[in-house]
Amino acid sequence: MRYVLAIIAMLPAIHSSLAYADGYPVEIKHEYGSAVIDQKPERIVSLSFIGHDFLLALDEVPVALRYWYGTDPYGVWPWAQDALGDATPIVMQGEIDVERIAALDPDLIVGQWSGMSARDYALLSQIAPTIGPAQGAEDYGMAWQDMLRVLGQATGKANKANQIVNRIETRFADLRDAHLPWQGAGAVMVWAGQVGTFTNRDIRGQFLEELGFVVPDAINEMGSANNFYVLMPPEDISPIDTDLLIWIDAGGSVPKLHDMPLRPLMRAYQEGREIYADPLLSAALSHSSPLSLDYALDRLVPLIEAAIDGDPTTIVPSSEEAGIVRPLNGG
Amino acid sequence: MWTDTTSPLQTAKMDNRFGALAVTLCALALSALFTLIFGLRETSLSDLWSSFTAFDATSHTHVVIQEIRLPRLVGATLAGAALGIAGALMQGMTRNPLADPGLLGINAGASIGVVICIMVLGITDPAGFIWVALAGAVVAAILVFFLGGGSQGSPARLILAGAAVSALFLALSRGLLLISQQTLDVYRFWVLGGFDGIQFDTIWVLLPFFASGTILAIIATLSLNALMLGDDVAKGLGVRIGLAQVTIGFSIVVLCGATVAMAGPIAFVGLIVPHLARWAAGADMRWMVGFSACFGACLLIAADLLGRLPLFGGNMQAGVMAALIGGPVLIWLVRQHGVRKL
Repeated sequence: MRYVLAIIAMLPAIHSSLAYADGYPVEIKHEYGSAVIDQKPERIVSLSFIGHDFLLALDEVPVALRYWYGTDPYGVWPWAQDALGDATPIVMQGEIDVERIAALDPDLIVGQWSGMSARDYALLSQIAPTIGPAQGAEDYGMAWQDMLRVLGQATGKANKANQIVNRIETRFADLRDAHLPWQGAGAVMVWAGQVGTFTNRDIRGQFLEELGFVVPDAINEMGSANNFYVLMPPEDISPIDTDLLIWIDAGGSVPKLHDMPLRPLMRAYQEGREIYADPLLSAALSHSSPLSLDYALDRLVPLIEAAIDGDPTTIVPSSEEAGIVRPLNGG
Repeated sequence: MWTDTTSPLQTAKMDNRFGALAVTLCALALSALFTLIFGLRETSLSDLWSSFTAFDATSHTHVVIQEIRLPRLVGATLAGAALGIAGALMQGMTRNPLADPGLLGINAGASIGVVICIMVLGITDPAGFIWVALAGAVVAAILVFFLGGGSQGSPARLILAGAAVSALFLALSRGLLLISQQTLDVYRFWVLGGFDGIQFDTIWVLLPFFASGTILAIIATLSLNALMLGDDVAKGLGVRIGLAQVTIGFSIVVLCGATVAMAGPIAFVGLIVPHLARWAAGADMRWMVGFSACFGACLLIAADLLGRLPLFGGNMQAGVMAALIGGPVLIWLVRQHGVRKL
């Protein structure tokens, strides 16, 4: 079984190294059409909320990037600081502002995870070659591997992109091999702010599945195209009561966890299967970028090991620090 | 219609009122029962009974009834009654059938309090909004009171001041929200108004405000009947107008401030409920306040219940639902009877 998994994991790598070669012009087909890039881009504007991580992983610093959340003045999280170095990209907040982007005089616009509309694309593609989400992918449904490979192709760094994808996929494969109990076990990531969970179309669901976990069908079926986040009604939260429950926190969600009347009745709570992901770890999971994945795995793997055993006496440290674990003497 | 002399006609009217009150209380009890029984999770009457008599913390059904539905019911009852009372006082004091507690700037003040709280203090837990919302409401109401000419001001001037302060504060809130996407994400759930995730902790904290506001309202009704005959007549009857207006104003601010702190701004209930109540209560403000409290509670409980039906997506906010139900009823009432003058 594990050999089969390893071979499957290598297949896309072989395929892509054959398909993508350096050299311009490059044509990239995507949801809204195709972008033809005549020479190596020098002024990249990144509209994807996580696109700067991918570009920085390829040593490409965008002239402007899209602010998602967080406190960094350049919209970049700790795992990407080294790659950013002394660069000071322009930070764009809020909706896509076509006029402002035109004024930046870009030669490549990246909008793989930007929520851009066909109308946005029609305008942006007149300014510069614009890369939308992959054909058939939802606005926020493109896999990180695909996003990185496409950007590698666009920036003339296809080999580097493949190397990164291979390295991280190997890490995932090794983790799967080392943790047979994870294979096929149910797992969810749940945001406690407005209690809801991510389907397997979302990068967070994809992350779990890359470790061998399965997002329950009950949750996947509640989602639909461009609806990757499913709200849980307070009267029935049983769909998230899985073998592994990761609480995602964008800040300030811990009190909400205490205010969920049915949470103490969940098996995941009683058997200590919950992991509290603090805002930094949550952001690393939510970015799921070539730069953040290593950070996320470094921190999350030991936590999963403590949570998945179903033994409430093996405490999940992050959950204990947040004060959300069940007291051992009953409770 | 608007004098209160005892006559055979009046006695008949009294009987009608007691009858109407009995019907209203029955409706209130029935909708409360429905709220506790109906929901996503099926529950029976015996579940409901045993959740009160023999609460089992490991039973999903008992926890849902006692810790999700019951706080919602209590919250909706308090908010509905408070908005109803405040609306009746507001319309009575200003002698304006369009007056709504929101016109005193209370909702706008609470809103800007919450926005500043999220932006500056970084608080995202709605339980933390109680005090800032209440403070914002009080500040806005005081501002409106002084801009409206203090205790010497006329009702019309008060409403104009309220409209101006509301517009200013709402514009400020929107401006601040445009700058900060993160604040907007937290704020937009609060601003819809509703009882999702309401906790008894919140209710206990605010209960003294609801209680004192209601007591003040009862005291105020004693002079309101005279006040509604016009300031000069009231003076002639020995009512101290300034004091009466301050009592009424204080009651409105406390009731609405506590409501907006608990459930976010809920518009329209304070406007429509007094019109329904007038149909049952006549012009006597003591009855008006009582009926308004009952009708308001009924309306919000029903709105909260209907908002949870799958038909409306399962979690339509009570504030939105109340307007959806109340709107057609008000239109029917106006077409049927015309707007009754106070």
